[in-house]
Amino acid sequence: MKYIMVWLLMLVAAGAKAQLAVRLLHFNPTGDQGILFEKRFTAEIMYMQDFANEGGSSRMRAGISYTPLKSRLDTFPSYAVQEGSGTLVLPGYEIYKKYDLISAFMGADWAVLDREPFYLFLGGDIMGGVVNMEYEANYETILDESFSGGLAMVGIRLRAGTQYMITDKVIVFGEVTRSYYYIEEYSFQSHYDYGIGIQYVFN
Amino acid sequence: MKNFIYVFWLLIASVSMISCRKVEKDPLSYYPKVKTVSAVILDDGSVQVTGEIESEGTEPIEYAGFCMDTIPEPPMAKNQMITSVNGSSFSAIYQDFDITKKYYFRSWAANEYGYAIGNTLSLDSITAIPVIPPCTMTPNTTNFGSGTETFNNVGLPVMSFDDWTISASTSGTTFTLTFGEKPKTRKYVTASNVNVSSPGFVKITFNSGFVYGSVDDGADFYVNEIGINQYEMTLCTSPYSYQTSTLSIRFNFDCPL
Repeated sequence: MKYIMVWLLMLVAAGAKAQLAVRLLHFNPTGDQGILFEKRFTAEIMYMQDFANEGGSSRMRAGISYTPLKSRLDTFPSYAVQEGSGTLVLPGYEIYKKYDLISAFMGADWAVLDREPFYLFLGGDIMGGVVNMEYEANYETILDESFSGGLAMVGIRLRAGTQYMITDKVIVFGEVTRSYYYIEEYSFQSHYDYGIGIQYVFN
Repeated sequence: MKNFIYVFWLLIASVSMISCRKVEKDPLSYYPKVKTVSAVILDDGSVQVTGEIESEGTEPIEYAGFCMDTIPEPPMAKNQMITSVNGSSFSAIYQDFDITKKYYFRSWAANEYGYAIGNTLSLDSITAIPVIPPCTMTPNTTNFGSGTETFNNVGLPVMSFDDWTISASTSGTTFTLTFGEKPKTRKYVTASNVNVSSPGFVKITFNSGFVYGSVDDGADFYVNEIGINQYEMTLCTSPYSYQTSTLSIRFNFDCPL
């Protein structure tokens, strides 16, 4: 999967002007992921067009992101209910030893405010990737299971941001994003993040 | 087109913000917090355990109850009792203890996210307050119409489909005592129909050759559990009908004998 994403990124970058950007971001899991995993800093690298060079109010971007999440508790106390001659609540636990989000994304931004060198923009991406997970669950006498492997994920990301052209080649930007995605055999998950980035225009 | 994109984006963004569920700073905040408040021995030798929900967590309580064992820190499923929560309090009654052992009680509660277990309370020498018969009798004897007889064989309570039965014999008379529960320390009342739905009653029948019948309803019958499966049982006096006469019966025996 990693090779596929690198290949995709190279393909996108090769066919366009070399405009690379790196974004440092603070990843905030929400929903079920927010219960299970800690917030953390991570980064993503992308090909991103520049509003000024594109001569319009929109631009494309594509990149990859890798976010290894850390479980908030070593063991999550959960339970199962056994119905038979009576109800029995059986204690159990769930352990997330590994939960890495690896995704590729592709999308576009639209400049809401274009006052070169300053821009405000809205945008969105389509994301696809894999969640590399190691998981263990045990419920007394009912279930003892573990899983290790990758689960496919697909989703969307919305974005609001601002950028400033320091020079013709160097641009700094800041963004807030909100992401929703479906993880195979798991559920819908979400997170938001905010971060700053730098873009370098080679041509 | 541009306006449509902005409106669409704002719409999606607004919905996503509304649907945000707050992430708790402390992951343990999602789970209930529960405390075992008390474990009290009742007069009949049962134990009433009370728990308190200190916090429901972020979702309502779905199950609450207790566990009990003779080992410290009893696991949640051991001798589990599930109860309903009244306000923030919940309680349950455990029965049938071995007087020689120490017992540990713990509360627990569960919501949508998981469960939490409370502190442990322990009790030992769990026994009922003895019931004192208002009469004094020679041990293991019966006064049964024609004179005093001595018991020579008393069996342990035998459980059947919906009652417990004890057989007690003298050289000439056999008594059958039927309880609606496993006998324990308490004052029972004689009745002609006894089963599991009438735990405080005892049916006493006898067969003495030509004389057979049952003790009339409404007499007090005293049982003291003096050890594991060891009892003292006393009927101070009770009328019984034989042909056209009303006679009196009384007995006292150790069980087993």
